[in-house]
Amino acid sequence: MAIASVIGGAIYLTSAQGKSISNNTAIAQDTNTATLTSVWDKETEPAYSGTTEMTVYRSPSCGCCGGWIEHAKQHGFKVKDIKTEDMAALKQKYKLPTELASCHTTIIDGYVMEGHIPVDDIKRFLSEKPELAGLTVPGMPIGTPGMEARNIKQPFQVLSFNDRGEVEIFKEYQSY
Amino acid sequence: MVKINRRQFIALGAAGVGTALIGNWLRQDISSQPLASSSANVFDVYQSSDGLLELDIIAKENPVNLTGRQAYLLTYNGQVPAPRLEANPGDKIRIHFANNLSQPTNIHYHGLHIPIMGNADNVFLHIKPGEKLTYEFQIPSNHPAGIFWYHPHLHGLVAEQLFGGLAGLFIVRGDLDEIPEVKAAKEEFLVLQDFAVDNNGRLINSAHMSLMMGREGDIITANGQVNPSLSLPEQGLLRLRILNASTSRFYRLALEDHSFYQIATDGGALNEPIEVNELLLTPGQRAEVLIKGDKEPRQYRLLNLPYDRGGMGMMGGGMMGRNNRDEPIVLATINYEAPGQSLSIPTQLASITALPEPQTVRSFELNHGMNPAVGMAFLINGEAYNHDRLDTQVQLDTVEDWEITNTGMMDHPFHVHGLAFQVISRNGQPESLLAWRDTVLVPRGETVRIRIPFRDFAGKTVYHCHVLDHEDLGMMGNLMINA
Ligand SMILES: [Cu+2]
Repeated sequence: MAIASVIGGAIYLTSAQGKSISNNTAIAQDTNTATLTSVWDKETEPAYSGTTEMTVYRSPSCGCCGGWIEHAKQHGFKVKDIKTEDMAALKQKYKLPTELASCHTTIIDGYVMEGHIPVDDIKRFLSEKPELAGLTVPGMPIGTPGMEARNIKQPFQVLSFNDRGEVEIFKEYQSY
Repeated sequence: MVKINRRQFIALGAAGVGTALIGNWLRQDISSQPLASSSANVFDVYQSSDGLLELDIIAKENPVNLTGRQAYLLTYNGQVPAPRLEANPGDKIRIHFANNLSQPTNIHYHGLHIPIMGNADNVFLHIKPGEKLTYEFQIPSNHPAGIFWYHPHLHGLVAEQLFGGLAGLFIVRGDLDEIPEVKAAKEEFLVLQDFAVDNNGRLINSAHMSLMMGREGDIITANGQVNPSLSLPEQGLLRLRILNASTSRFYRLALEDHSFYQIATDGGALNEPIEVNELLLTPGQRAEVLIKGDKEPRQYRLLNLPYDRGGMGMMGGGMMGRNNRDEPIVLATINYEAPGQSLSIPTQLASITALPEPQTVRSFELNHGMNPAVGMAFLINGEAYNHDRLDTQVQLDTVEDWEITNTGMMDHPFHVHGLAFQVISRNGQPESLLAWRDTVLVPRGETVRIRIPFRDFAGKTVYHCHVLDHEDLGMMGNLMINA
């Protein structure tokens, strides 16, 4: 089990296999041409019968939000894609804590879905209809849907949060 | 705005094993009370003699005292920051380098105008663990005096190795040092670095850092110390020579009750000092300022003011790996010392002239996004770095204008290797200040036009974003200077 800790505004994702921390590894080494296949293409919630209409707010200059929208469409969501310059005001309006922010913000079924969340996790969450504000993948971890890179997969967690800004782990991805 | 419940987070953390990661380190509250530590003069210094600077440099992991605790950092000769090298124009440099790291590496001599091929400022060298290489080059006899520096530059590993601590000053002495007021001023160096280590003092794995934003650490140091003290002679001048050696962190400097008289940029002296209240240094940039000791003799704090370099469309950022962004951080404390020689700010420093009109104008667009070959990457003109591709070919002894536009959502400091350039305009507004630079900030949504004279050295080198995670993630291009 891994945890997220927020200290002084920073979120560090740490693994239970604490040993791995001292071993820094090379990132982004070679750049051969190869077709990218995404681990996120597979449908894991085929029985989902909830809302499929979502609104995605993103900055016109965001270079990765479009990738996530494609991921959502591929998994059966209908996306209303709204480009706005003022993402800060939008995130404030939906009371998203600064520490939990990512690039784009999605509204579905009254919930806030922040950043590059695997959409099948959104389906699981919506099926449960919890008394929470929504889900978030803070920051822009590389390897998440819409952020796939050929040779980097950063561990990440999907966090749930409520109106009081309290946070729990909804799902974690150590290796994927 | 809802406040995040930190207690909840920490309670969550206590349930796991990886928990207190950096908890103990943070209790040393670096953002509040100045508790000035000893002196800022911590460097080993190697100066050339009889026209030669020759030394051994070993890159290795080494235990280093970081905020009173042992941390295992990446070092040159066991030190963070690395030894300071000093040479004069015309000097020969011979560095016997040994790589005792667990990764391949090399050395880039940032800002020096020296050969870019062979065993000089060659970023394509690949020195394997356990291997040695002798760097040998000459500083041109007309080389400007200034603050330059050395650090690793093996693509893909640059951010990680710099963040481990591998960086040192390379000072070229010359005309600027001979101006009487500058010469009589008290000289101090300030190498700014940030670190992230766990409770055992081990560097935090890159996988857990915010690579997209560019990694930042919670431990912010000047000369390897948290809040060192420097002294300023009453009635005299302090000459502060500053390097941002951080991987991604920007520093927006201000000194309580004092202004800065900036006398030099990356590439050396300005024509005359300019008085500023703040100084923004992006990663890779250097600046020199004079500070007048004309205020009430007591302690003053050198502050790092908040700066938003973008990212998430949130006020102040809101990214993992970004800390203390709402409050100033004390970087160093400046103490008045006994009255020294009464000094005034010099009026004339150098005689930079404007460059001739360019033969060629090129455009560069900076952003990040999906690239068919590599996936998510940082891009220049839509391409992620490819070792085998020549992106830009120029002719030696020509002058070019490069118009660099940042269409993304984060700031990118643009650095060209081996050459100095002048900024011509920002967002179409002509730049009045004549200055030599090798790294210029291109803020998100903005355009900067620079003019580069390709002089003296032909060969292949690179230009890139100096947020080094962005560079490692593709925001770099190959530049061929044809003879
Ligand atoms: Cu950048």
